[in-house]
Amino acid sequence: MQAKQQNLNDQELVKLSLESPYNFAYIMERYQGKLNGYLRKISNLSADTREDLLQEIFIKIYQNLNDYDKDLKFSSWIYRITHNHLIDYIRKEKKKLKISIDKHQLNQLLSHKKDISKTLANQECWEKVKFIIENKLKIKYKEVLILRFIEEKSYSEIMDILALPKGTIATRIKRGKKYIEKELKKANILCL
Amino acid sequence: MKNLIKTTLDKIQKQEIKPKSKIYFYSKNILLWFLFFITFLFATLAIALIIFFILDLDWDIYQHLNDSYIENLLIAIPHLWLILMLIFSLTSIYIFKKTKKAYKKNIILFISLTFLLSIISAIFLYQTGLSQDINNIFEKNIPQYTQITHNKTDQWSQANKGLLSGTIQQTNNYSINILDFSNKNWSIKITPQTIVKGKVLLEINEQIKIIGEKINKNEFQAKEIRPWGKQGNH
Repeated sequence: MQAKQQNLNDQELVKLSLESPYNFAYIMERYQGKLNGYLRKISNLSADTREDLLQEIFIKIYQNLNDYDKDLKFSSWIYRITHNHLIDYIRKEKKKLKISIDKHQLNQLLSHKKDISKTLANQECWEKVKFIIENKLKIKYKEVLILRFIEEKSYSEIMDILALPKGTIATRIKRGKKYIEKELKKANILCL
Repeated sequence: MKNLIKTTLDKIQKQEIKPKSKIYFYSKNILLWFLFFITFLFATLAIALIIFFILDLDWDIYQHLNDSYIENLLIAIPHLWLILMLIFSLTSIYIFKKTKKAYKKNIILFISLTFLLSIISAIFLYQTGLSQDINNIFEKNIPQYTQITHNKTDQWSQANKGLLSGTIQQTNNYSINILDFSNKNWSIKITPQTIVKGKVLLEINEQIKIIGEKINKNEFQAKEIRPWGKQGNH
């Protein structure tokens, strides 16, 4: 039974979860790592807080299973719930959404820059770039950049996750990148 | 993280958490579209009232007045209905954006089409006389309404600015007596130079509009006389 359910697709698991909450465990198993990773990248929350949040998110997903629109990818739909829940939590707790990225992810984020590998090798420069992205970039730019370049989501998936038109997504990606470059120049960081 | 699945399932069971029904989400969606429709309807009514106020007023008279043309125009603009139109339009856009697949639609095209439909419907409502009926209902039932709107009666009840209107009570060769809309009697002096526009018969009980000059407390020199109805403009 367990092996059979593990082979089912998301939509089939949704159907089964509506019949019994035990089947919902397979959905949680499939997505807990991905959602935890997303929460880790987009926020500076501790592992315990992320776990508490994830539990709330999974309960929300379970309660809203009948609202799942089959036209969307299931993963987009649960990323949307995760994203909205995180934003609500941050507003409620008055916390600052601070992304936490590593060198590899920054490389993905600024992959259009020719000398990025050199930059990442320079520890001082890396720290400065990291500071700007983590502390100065607005949430609306952070979330699209992370979804596009770190989570490697398509435009269509980002649209479904953030419930925003394609044009807005494209503009935010462009502006976010430009903002990073402008801030680097302003801070006289010429290592990029 | 290892226990997350177990603790979540335990919580679901302990607290008897159930998935919300399909009817709940269906009703929520219907309610959202219903609210959108209502705000759209109110925005349309507001546009119909704006059309009524704009077409009911005489916009050509301001050039005859000594006061600032712009200032008079600003007073005559139907502010209340413009503000209400803006509020209802923005609310309907906000509600639309809250609907399920709004982000997949071309919002500018949607707003433009909705606005066009709203204007066409408002013109239809104006043509059927509904906007005037609604205005009359507001005037009769809400005392503050007449204070915050500037209607045709207000426009033609500014004797100091040279605009007067009322019902003819008595006529002589070179003067007529009228009772204005605030029940004040006026003696109107008419000279051979006085222009009579449109279908004005100068008969008792006829309602007229007069452009001229206030001479005394109850005396007014007429430069131009128009019928109360719209044909006076032509």
